[in-house]
Amino acid sequence: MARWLLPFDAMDPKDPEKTWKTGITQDLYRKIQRQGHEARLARIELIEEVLSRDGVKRIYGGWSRPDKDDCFVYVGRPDRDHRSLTTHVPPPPNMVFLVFVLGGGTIDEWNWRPAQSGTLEPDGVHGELLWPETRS
Amino acid sequence: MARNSKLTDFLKANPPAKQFVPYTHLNQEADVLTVYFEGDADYSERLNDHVTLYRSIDTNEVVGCRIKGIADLIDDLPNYLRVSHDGTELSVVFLAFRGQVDANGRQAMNDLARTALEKNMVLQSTI
Repeated sequence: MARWLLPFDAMDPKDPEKTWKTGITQDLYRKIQRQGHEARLARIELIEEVLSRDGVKRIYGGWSRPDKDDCFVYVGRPDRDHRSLTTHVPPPPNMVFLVFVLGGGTIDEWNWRPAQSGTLEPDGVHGELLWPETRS
Repeated sequence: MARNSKLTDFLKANPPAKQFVPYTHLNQEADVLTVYFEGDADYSERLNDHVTLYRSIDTNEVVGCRIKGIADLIDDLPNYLRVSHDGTELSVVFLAFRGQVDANGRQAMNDLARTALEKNMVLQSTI
């Protein structure tokens, strides 16, 4: 069986010209599907954009807790939110869309998060900013 | 941006069940427990190192949470209470993290525990 039910190519934080393989497991997708969580399922469509070179605005390394230094948080600002498979609305104001990726590529979580005023910096994400690089 | 019709087709071919049912999801690799009481479109609010709240975008009510660093707690639970074959009452998990938050956070943890009790939610002991 394939490692992921839904694979995605994500921009490589170390080399923006390259991608690496990420994805959502069958176990997680089927759970969301079985439980009838349509909003969460519909937002999977936003993941693809936020992981892409064109859609990602920031990438943080580490999840601010022990043994999770090899994980990533991708930050984007899609031009819409998906409330269901058929209901698409403008994005929530002053929020960014986060995709949490484990070191091996498994996507563990995706959701909107308030951003610090006038920026794309999500509240409560304390990992190391890997991209864009801030070195001059 | 161009949309991936293949992904859209997959989602439409594998749609969610018609009715939302509250659920928990344990991810051993991430060491995370995800809980949803309601199926509202939500956003996340980080409470502290261990707890992130999910709030409804429309009402701002707490509709779920994400508990990080859950494995040690689950390992230790049998020392403190009987874990039946059905699992452990989810509200106990929130009690364990109640002491790590400020007054506002404590209210949120109490709300989570009360809702877990009302909905009879159980944490399966396998992680």
